[in-house]
Amino acid sequence: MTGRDDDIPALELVRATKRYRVSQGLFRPAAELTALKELSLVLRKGETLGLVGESGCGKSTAVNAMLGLLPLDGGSVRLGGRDIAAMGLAERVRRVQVVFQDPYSSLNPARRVRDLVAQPLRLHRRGTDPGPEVAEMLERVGFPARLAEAYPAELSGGQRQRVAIARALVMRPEVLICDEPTSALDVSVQAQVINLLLELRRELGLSMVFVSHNLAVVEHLADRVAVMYLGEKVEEAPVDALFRAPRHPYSRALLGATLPPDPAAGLPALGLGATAADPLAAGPGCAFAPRCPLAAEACRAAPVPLAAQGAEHLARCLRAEAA
Amino acid sequence: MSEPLLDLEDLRISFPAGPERLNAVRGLDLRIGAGETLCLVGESGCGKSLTAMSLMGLLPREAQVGAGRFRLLGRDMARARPRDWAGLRGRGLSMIFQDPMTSLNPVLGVGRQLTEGVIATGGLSRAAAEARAVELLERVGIARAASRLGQYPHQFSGGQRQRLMIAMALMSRPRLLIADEPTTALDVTIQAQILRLLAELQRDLGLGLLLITHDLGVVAAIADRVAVMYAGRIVETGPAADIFNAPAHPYTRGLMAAIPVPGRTPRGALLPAIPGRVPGLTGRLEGCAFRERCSVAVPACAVRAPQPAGAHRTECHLATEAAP
Repeated sequence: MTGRDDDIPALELVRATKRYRVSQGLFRPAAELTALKELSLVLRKGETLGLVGESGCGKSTAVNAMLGLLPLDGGSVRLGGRDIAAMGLAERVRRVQVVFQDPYSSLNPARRVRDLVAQPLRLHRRGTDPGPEVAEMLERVGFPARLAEAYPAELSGGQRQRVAIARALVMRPEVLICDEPTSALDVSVQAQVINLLLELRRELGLSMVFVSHNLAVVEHLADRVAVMYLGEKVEEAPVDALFRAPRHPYSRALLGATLPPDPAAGLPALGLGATAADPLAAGPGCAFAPRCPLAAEACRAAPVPLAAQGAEHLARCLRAEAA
Repeated sequence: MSEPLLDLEDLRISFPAGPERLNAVRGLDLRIGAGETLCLVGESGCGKSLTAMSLMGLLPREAQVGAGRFRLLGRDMARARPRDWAGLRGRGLSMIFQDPMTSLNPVLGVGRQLTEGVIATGGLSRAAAEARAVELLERVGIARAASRLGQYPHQFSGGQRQRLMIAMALMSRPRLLIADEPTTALDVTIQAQILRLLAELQRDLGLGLLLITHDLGVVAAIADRVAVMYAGRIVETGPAADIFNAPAHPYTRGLMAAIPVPGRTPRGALLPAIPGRVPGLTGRLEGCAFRERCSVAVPACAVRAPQPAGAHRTECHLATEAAP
């Protein structure tokens, strides 16, 4: 591989925009909800990008866009430098795969584990016996061989998530997208799955997007982190910088709301007010202004651009210096 | 000292499972005093939600419940019949469930849902009940409460619905409040606000609060005392500071080590995960249920360890040596 090839990101979102029409009831016109607002993200080869934010911030829409499952209203998604919209399904699924949050609903309950993992190989490499590769991948994810003939219902949550990871990786994709892969799991099992992802990333040289609302897990796994709020990227930084010195008030609130297992820490006071994020009530200015303790007139008046805050550190805030 | 709100000894809950029985809760002791927050921690299947349901008299019919002592709000509930439970629920005893979307009736106005209980059981007039509902909604941080009584659950956000649930649980002025994972379905910024609210209400109203969760961060933020459950038994219990600063049971220590903590856990390092999985609970389970997954297990673990007396108690043969 030449140095030039390495410069091409594994995955790139270029000003991706997606709007939905939302019914407001029978007698009112439908409102327009912008789920992704010119979202740009770069996933370099071999790195792990954390994507964090709360429900409704557009994380899942972004994941669907990265998988090529969503026609965009603007912008593009590029896989290895090529537009995903111009790729055939076969090429797309060979290059990018996903592990979802809920291993209970993402595995076909009527299929045995061995068939679930073999399915991608069967579809994409007809004529060859998928058996050895399936066995190897199941072993790699630490799934007991004696359970290969079991159905998902017979497995624990952690085992199911291992099957989902094996199925995603059996095609040896370049990019693995993990959408809250540990959120449905118990603490002790969550650690097992995080360890597995850490090992697989190293062994297979995966480029990973790790989507989560659990900042502690993101901090543990990611090289860089992007924080989303109502469809926009509000901050992006190397993981160190983001956790040491978050610049956007929303990133600070998210970090502050993460409860450490330390009784001396007490309950955080966030000063965000009782209103949740409302995607339909957006004004012309900063989307976070209605909840922001630092918001000034200028924040509400006009859109706030992303501004450099240091090396590779971007924040969408006029008052990043004020805290 | 006055009698605790809840005094439970040797609680056992089992279900028929083919020819055998599934012993979900296998001898559990629990005490909660007025003004105290006890957090019951454990992973799925450890029996924590069943314990909560048994405290509300809401277990499924096929469940078999027994207890050495079962005193709740000064009454003996060991052999309570449905009528006895109805005398407690909504009259001193309330519960907040995890998912406000499935616990609120989508086709009834929230004002009606808030007030119907106290009108039926507390003998309040509609006007008095609505006045109390407005007062509580404002207390839990819902603005313009009076004008929102006629609205339906879908017109409230997720965090607001959980606030509705809290207000509803407080309508009957309970003395003991049971909250089963009250913030698990919420975003973290909303979770912090709801926990703060619960802590304030608990302090102002002198409630006893039993909070059930699997999130050790939530426990650290709000608990006075902690009880750690594993496979149907409490394996360690004590004041929150002791449990977090000097966890004595290998399972408690394993749980604490398995969560990454920013600034403390080396980034990208393998986490000390607990190997294996929880044992099946069908039939008899001899000795320590954790010993198959325990890194320090000794032959003596085949017999259950005695629980010592004291504020911080651990059911483990090796704990006394590790943390005197």
